[in-house]
Amino acid sequence: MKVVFYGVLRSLAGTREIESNSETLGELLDELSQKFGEKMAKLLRDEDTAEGLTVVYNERVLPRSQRGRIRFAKDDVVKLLSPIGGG
Amino acid sequence: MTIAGEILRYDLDRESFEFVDWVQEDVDRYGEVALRRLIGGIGFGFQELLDRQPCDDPAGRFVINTGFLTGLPKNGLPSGCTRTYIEFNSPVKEKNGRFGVGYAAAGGLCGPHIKSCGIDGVVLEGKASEPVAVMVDASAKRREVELVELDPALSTFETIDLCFERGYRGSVVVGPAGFNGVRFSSVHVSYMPHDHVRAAARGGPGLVLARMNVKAVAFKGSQDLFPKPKKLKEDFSDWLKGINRELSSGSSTEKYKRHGTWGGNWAYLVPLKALPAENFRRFDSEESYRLDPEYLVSKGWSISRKGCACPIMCWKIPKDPSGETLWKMDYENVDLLGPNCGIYDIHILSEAIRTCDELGLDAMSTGGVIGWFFEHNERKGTGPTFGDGEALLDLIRKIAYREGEGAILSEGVRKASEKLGDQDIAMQVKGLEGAAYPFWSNLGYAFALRGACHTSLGTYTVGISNPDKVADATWWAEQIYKAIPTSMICQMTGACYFTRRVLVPELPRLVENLLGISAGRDEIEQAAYQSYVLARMIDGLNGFSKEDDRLPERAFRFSTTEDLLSETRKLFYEKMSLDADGRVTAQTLSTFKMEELSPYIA
Repeated sequence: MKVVFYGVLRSLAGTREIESNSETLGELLDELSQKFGEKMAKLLRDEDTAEGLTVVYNERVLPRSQRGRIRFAKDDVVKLLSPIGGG
Repeated sequence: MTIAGEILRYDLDRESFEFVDWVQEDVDRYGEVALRRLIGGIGFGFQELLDRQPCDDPAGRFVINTGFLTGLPKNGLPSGCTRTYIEFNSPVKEKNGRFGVGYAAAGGLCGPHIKSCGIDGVVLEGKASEPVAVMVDASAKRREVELVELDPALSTFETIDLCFERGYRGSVVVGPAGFNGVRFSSVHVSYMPHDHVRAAARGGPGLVLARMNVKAVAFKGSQDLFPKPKKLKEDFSDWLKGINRELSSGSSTEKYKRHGTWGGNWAYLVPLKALPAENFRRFDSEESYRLDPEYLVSKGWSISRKGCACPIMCWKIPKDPSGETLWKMDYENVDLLGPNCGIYDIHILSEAIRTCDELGLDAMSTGGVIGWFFEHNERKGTGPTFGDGEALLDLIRKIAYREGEGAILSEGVRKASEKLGDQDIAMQVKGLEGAAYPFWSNLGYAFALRGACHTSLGTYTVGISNPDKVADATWWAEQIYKAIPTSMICQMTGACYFTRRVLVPELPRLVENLLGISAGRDEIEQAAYQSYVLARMIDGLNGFSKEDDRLPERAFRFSTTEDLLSETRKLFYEKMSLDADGRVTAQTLSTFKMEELSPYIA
């Protein structure tokens, strides 16, 4: 599965995308937290309705209620975004 | 306390002033001083406007104030807290000749300078006989206030520099646009001379101040007068150091530090196809990459960081490969004067934003009204339209000087569309042009305090990131209700909006140590709700009701329907104890424990 980072997550990861073999979103977030450190972990685990992590799964925004149900396949693309506001 | 407890009241008609103990005034009048007033910002300022309602002329009272956190770390306050607040009856929020409430806010260094004059703010009344600067000098033993005549044609930059040259490092100034009568003219707040100023732009404060013949209000203080914390617990200073560390290097502010609002929103809204373009009719522009900071850096640009005496340093200032430094870029201005007008040339955009700042225009409203005008021209088949950069720059000047078609556009998109037609594509709520987030994904715009504003009701991304909920009125009513406390408190304390994830949860401790008051989270939330209720009270007294809590026609797409908004409205009013017309009643005041204000709605 391809994982694509955007914004601050891309900056913290130091790369645009990676390949992952994680099977669930929980596993993926654990993998990324371990790999990219504490700041990344906090942003990935941010559950705030307005400002928490946004997950795009195969070009559709994945509702929070469905995040526990997804099983990733080899050709899936997951995009990870962190909202920002103001300006 | 980190508030002075004094306010300067200046009567421009009589050219007289007094420094007033406003805390004692409140105690005398209401029996006690409300927590919302002590926290400050709009919690203080809206109440100052109450006895002028209903309002058929906004140019009668104008409040400039601070919050209990406004100041600098050297004053024993958290970093990132330099806000100055402005409260007034808003010229853009007009209904049947009456005007609803408005506010604007900005960082910069003016707020700390106001407090170093030993005051929490200034309340201006009446009208000066000539355009003047109100100069507040607290640097000598006796505080003095004098009026100095100023040329109304001076730019905001020139006016701030002039105040600096005379030793007044804090200033709130109006550009020529305000004196020319532009309804959405801004005030600008000093940062440093010859440098980027900060705009308190929304809702037309520049027009109000100009109509009172005030070109500037300037402050020269003394550090000795800065109010001191009342009751510090022993471990507070160490704890505050930890808070400041989190603000400067923690995860909560990381996105603002690294990308600012411009890069941060580009990296969020573009992939989600939610970046407004061409007067909010498109959200998937293929050209948006040309304004993406990441793309620009890949092409040899550099982007430097700066801030309002704040470690977050959210300001992003691009420099092109030839070494030319452009103007400061914030997301809202970049999108609304850029893609929203079909403009993707960053040099033109930089010039457009700089010109708005220089002449004293709200850059967001300017982008909103020109975007609408371009589409209006496209519909009728004549005149400049999307992508015409030369016309964009020309129209900004024409608006500021009310020349040619600029005279109609200077009235704002609602009035302009009433005169020229195409009201269905006028992207505004209560007369205020929209912020740069899709309307279809934010029902909160209908209930936001200022109109189509994102910071006065922070629900602007919840619809995008929760697609399974957006057709549910109960969910929307809950989101809007839940967003009020944080949205309001960010316009009260003096802290920057971007510190909210760090400072808002810590407010009980800050209030206890800096104001000497024990107040739990619930009480602080209540103070925030009270500020929203106060605003609705003022709006209600000016005839605003349910029919004004609406969205423009173009907002209704996908799952967002009139029926959904109607149901959300009903449920939200119930949660807020408002009546079926959305008005504040005795029941509302009782629910939010503000019965002392009941004479105003009798």
